[in-house]
Amino acid sequence: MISKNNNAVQIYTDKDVLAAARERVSYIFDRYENIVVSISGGKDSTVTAHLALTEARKRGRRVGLFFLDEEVVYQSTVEQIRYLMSLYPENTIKLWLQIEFALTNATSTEEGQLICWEAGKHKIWMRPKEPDSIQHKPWDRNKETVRDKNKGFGFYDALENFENSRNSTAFLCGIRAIESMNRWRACARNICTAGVHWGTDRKNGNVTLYPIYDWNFTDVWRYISENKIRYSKIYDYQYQIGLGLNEIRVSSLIHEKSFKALVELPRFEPKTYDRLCKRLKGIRWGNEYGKNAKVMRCRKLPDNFATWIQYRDFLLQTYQDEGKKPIFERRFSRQLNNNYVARQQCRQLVLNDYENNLPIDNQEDPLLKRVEYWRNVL
Amino acid sequence: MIYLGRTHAQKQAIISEVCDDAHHAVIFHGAKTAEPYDVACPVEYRGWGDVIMYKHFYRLLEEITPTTAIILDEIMRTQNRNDLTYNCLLHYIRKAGRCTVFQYFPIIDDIENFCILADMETCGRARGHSFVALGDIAVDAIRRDYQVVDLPVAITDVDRETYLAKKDAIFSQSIKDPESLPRQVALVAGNIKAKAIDRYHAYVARNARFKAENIAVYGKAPTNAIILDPPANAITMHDHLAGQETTPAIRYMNTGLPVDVYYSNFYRGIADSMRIVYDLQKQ
Repeated sequence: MISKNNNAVQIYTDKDVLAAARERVSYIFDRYENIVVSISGGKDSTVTAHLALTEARKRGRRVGLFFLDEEVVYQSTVEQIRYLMSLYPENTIKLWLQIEFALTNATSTEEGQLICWEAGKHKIWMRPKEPDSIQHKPWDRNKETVRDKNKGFGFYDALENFENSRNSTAFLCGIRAIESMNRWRACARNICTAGVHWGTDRKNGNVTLYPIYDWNFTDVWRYISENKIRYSKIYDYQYQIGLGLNEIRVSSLIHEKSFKALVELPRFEPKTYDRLCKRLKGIRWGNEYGKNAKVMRCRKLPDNFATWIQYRDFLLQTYQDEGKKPIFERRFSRQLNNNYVARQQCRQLVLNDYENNLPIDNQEDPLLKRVEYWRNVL
Repeated sequence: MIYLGRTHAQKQAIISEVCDDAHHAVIFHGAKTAEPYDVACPVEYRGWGDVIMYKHFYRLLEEITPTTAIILDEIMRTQNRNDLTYNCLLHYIRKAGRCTVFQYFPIIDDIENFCILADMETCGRARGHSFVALGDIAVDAIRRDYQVVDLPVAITDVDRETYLAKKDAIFSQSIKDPESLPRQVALVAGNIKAKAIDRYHAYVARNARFKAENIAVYGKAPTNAIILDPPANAITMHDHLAGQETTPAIRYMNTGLPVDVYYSNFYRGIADSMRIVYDLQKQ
């Protein structure tokens, strides 16, 4: 919420977050004929889907449950999606999308992309496709949009084209403002066409709405517990090994923001790990070094380099995928050449982030200013 | 209530009173090992690292009720008011509805640090407010103003040249963390001061490099020891000074070299900020 002096603050009211979320969902049902809940198998989307399904049941209506299947996900995620889609079948429109699209593989430069559900590779798919899933692109191919043709048809392209194939639809999403400043901005920045601030306008009169945007971590778990809803087993595994609250999350397994999941995967789901090793290169490397400060996290400079610039040049010289190398070269040539920027560039190279999903803070090295300050003081 | 400047014995008396009508007590402590208290009801001790652990978090949220006594014993260990550990503590406190806060010094090195204690005492209602906008906070303070006393150490021109040469060497290395520079340079000054050490006083140094019986490291040195090297951070200095009936002065060996002037002023600045906190809370 924005206060009078334009600061972002949480303001407590007399209404609890559950009552507020139910009111929001009810408002969405009053206003929109077509409602689709985007689900990922995580706790937040599970709660959002449950709230929407409960309202749909009360009104005798149907809502779409949309899951864009990345193929390389936890088995527990798949089971959670099956559970949600079969919870109230008479009120559910199954929208389980299993189509080909490219995903970044942060663990290998040899095989820098995974084509999910790639035709001809069904023998090594992580699992067979669901019998009642959508297996062909449900939109007009002539109108298909691709953000970047060099990168190919990716995850966000699939999402965008799916949304654009619909009209006047409310897409419900389980993001919460408290998770990060970016999410807070997305949730509470502007008033959208639905007349509320907890939403974002999309094309064709569509709108993405966030009915649990003001929930806390504990509110989500309380709802799950009180309503006896099933949740992904991964949370239990993470609980058992004593991970901190900020580390407990269900995510994809291989992209540049989620590869750390590979470190624990063999313990949680050995069969999923086995299948993943057969499916894709670099998985064992990700398992070994996913949380290593000198390797995949790029937090510490490896011993055999004196500066991050040296390390960056080495990584660029030895980058294996000649097709993607110019993307990095072009990008880096427009950026400053200092150790602060070079460390971030190293991270992009190590994690194969040709898509620029880990954007670089292109500024003068703040370390140098502090060094100068201390030189004068001391 | 926030109790400032209490010794272990004084805390014991307050805890006994607070726990009188409690059915269960949870004591969160900032020290590495818990210093046990004599409590009538069942008591659980949890260290700083335990606070965020999932295995304790949900269990404690279930177990803590309005009849639980929550005691925060020297829990201010980081200056980040929004640190996850503080957030988790607030969840526990909100379940209990109140808590008792003990902190020997009211701040770490900035006046705003006091807001961390205020957040706890008010069950989070003080969040978002800076120190000047805190309003009424229930504080019972025993003032622990410390003095910084400079003990001058005479140095020669050769010492000054050595200092400059070694400082330049430190600055010419590959620097990963600039905030470590004063700490590194202070060790150079510490080596220069070593010639002024006598056998009749106790000293405290950052590490065991002097290998002398009367020079101990922080955590093992007596609280009135003369400061040869400043510690790595203000929390360590406060741990060194805290818990005493009378707060000893910081007796700092000062060569007049810039690094010693910096550290001497740094601790004077903290002492001044503490005075502001004490004075404003008194009003």
